[in-house]
Amino acid sequence: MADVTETDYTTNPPTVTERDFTPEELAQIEADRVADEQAAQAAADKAATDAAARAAAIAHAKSLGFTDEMIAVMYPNLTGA
Amino acid sequence: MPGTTPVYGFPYPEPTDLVADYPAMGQDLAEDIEAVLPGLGGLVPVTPTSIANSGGSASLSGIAVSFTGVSSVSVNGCFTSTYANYLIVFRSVASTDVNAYLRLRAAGTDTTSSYQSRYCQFYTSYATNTDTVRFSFNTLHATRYANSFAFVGAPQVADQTTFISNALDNGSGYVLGEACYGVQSGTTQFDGFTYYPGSGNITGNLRVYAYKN
Repeated sequence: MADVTETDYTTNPPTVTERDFTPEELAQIEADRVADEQAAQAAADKAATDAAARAAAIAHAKSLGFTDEMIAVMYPNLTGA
Repeated sequence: MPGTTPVYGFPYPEPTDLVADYPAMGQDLAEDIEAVLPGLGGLVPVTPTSIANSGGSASLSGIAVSFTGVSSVSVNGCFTSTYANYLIVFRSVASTDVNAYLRLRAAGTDTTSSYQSRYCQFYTSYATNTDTVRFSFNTLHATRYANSFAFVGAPQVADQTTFISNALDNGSGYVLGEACYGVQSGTTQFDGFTYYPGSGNITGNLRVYAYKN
């Protein structure tokens, strides 16, 4: 099965052409895949860093005597409330 | 000799016209009305000249481009010098959780560089990313359709092309707002675009409208 199906609607009936990816298209598809993997990894790394920072902030607040309820009200961004 | 209306030039019979001439005059009138109607509103429906899909199937009916199980769908000849700005309306679902992208194209070839964009998700906090090789503008999921729309500014001008989108991330048990603001900073005069997921395939439809000048 061809990689790409092109349909030209300026003719009646429409003209259908099938072709394989060009080398340039194949190279771009691979580049996109690598970029997606890097972006997903960066997002995962950031999420982990953010979670660690929030956990550290909550622990610090508790060490000062704040309860969970007080933290949730005073710092909703830490708990997601 | 039929008369014509002053604004749109619609033909109408004069007392001296023959009855036998009326069918042809009626056809002229019908065709003139059909040509004028799309331009009466602020948005003008756009019919692409061709489409291309990778995997799955795609078709054009009226102005609606429908696609099923495609890894990309390209729409050609939808941006012309007749109109300055355009609106694209999407409705899509994906085979898996995935980002959806758009690339501008000219003469059947995608432009893959010189994009500057900021993509944001809105929730209790927000995440942002930037992408220089395409516009990343919507998160799609399996089984749950989402709508999005994008304003494409001045694609046919030999200057920057702007892209402003708003989208729904219809997740499992949550919804998010998403926005993308960007430019393709080259001077290429684009006549179309490619819409594709980062992986897997997408099903849905899209329509292109031109803003009346």
